[in-house]
Amino acid sequence: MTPMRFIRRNPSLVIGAVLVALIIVMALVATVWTPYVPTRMAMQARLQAPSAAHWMGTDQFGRDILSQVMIGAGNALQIAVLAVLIGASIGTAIGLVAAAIGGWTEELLMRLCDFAYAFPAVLLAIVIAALVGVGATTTILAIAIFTIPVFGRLARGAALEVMGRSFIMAARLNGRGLPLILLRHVLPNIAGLLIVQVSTQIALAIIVEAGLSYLGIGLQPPAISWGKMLADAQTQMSNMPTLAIFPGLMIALAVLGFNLLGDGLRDLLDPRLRRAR
Amino acid sequence: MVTAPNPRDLTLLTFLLRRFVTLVLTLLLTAAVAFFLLEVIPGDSALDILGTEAREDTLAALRHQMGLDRPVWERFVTWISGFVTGDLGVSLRYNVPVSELLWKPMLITLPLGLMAIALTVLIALPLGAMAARYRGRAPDVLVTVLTQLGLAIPNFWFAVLLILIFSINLGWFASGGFPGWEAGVLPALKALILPAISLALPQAAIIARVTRSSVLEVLDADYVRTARAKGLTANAALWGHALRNAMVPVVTVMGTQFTFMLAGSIIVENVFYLPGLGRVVFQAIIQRDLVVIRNVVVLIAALIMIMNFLVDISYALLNPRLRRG
Repeated sequence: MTPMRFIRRNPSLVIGAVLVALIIVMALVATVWTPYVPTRMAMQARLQAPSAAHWMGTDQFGRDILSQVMIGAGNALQIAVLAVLIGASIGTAIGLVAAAIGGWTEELLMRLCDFAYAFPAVLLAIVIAALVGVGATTTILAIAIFTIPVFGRLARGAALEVMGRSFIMAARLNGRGLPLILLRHVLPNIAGLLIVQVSTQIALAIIVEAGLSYLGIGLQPPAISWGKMLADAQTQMSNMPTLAIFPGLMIALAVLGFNLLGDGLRDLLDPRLRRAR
Repeated sequence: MVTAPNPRDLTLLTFLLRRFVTLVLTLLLTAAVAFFLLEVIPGDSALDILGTEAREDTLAALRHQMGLDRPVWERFVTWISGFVTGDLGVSLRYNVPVSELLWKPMLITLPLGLMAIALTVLIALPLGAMAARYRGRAPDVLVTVLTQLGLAIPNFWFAVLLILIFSINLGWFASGGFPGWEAGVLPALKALILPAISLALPQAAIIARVTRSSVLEVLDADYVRTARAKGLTANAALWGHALRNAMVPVVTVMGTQFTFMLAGSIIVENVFYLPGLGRVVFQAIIQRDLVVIRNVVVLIAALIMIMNFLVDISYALLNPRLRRG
């Protein structure tokens, strides 16, 4: 298939991948270079509109918005990816064990998943914040716990389907133990499905991280978060409206990117689903 | 004369009973988890209030007054029986009954939620149905793009943008705050419109997607083809036959989305400075008022679970095959 044809066939995948790549590059560049020192105040350059010197303008302390947005990209990605990977690993393990053992263990694990799923991440973060205080750890814990039941249910359902197939029976007849079968045969067969969900879940995690930081429960200053930038911008909105545009736009682009990437990967892995949707 | 019960009704009754027992058990579990996490782990609430400088006998007196010297299980039972009868204990910070602290905010959060749900339905159903009707053509593509945007734009940013446009630039709405229901129904509702719109946006995107795929599935069904064969126009078949039957999955998803709507209202209320439940919780965290947090968390969790229960039941009533599941 020519590249052009691939793009026309998989627009979601390509747009999503490009957006995600752009944000990752932005975060990587920010680790070595930003146009200005993001936390440096410059009172003579307060509340400037976007210009050649400051592409996204400056805030009420004269700090460069673009530099802050670039640093914010890294923070958003790190928290979202870390939290989702933790939650996905634990959730997948739970789902696999439930599918393999069955019976009461399965019932108990799945009811616990239902229970955890009924708890919205923001509410969870509030409880955790009340217990251990605010900050990055609280955010990561809340997103990870919220992610566990999603992968628990998904992995169980998919694993049950795979375990009914004949090659699993063959492996069992060969005397392979259950843990080995789960790792060698079941997990690789459901990995595609899990990866698609990871992408979608990262999108959700970015929204939750920004929301918690907006509320003041998430990342604490001097760490920079898009959500916190939005909260600060709101206080200056009548003076400089563009302040509220760029951090929100970045959140939306990042979420859109990971959502489209997830959709595109799903279509690629299972073309039959494309028609149904 | 006693007639034997219809076996079909018995299955339904067993299902309802089983589902009800599960509901009560989950509620108790939630309450227990919230109680032990927020009451037992953080240590000494008396020390929290009086500070480390307090004298030992003052601390002991306060502990006794708060019942902290009683065994944990006894405190749990006291709290639960109070919760059921509406006695939620006393706020650590304000020293007023928690129920008083929560009553007024409920009168903001609940109407806000209802308005958001109404808006969601008004936006999502026509868009989803239209996308399915013109599948693969311009309206479908437009709706697909719109729903992707709706999913990507966080509701609190959308809220900020709405304030920017409708309060700061056009001056049609206040940028936040709540006049109170005493000020009249119309001003109060007006203060809730922008928050309700920002809450509804991501929900509408999700529901429009579900409606689209659900209607698409139904449009392929035999009875729709029969309706078309009888001479109904595509539109008449869609609105008269397909849409109603496509509603079952939509209602289910809306039930689960209620959870996220409540969570979203915590953030959106803060954007608009609405003194609803979300703001109460938020302030309670800042002030470490664990009694308030514990009660609100359990209250919200209970609302969510009862909602899920009702959805399950209506689902079973609509679709008898699912009762065995």
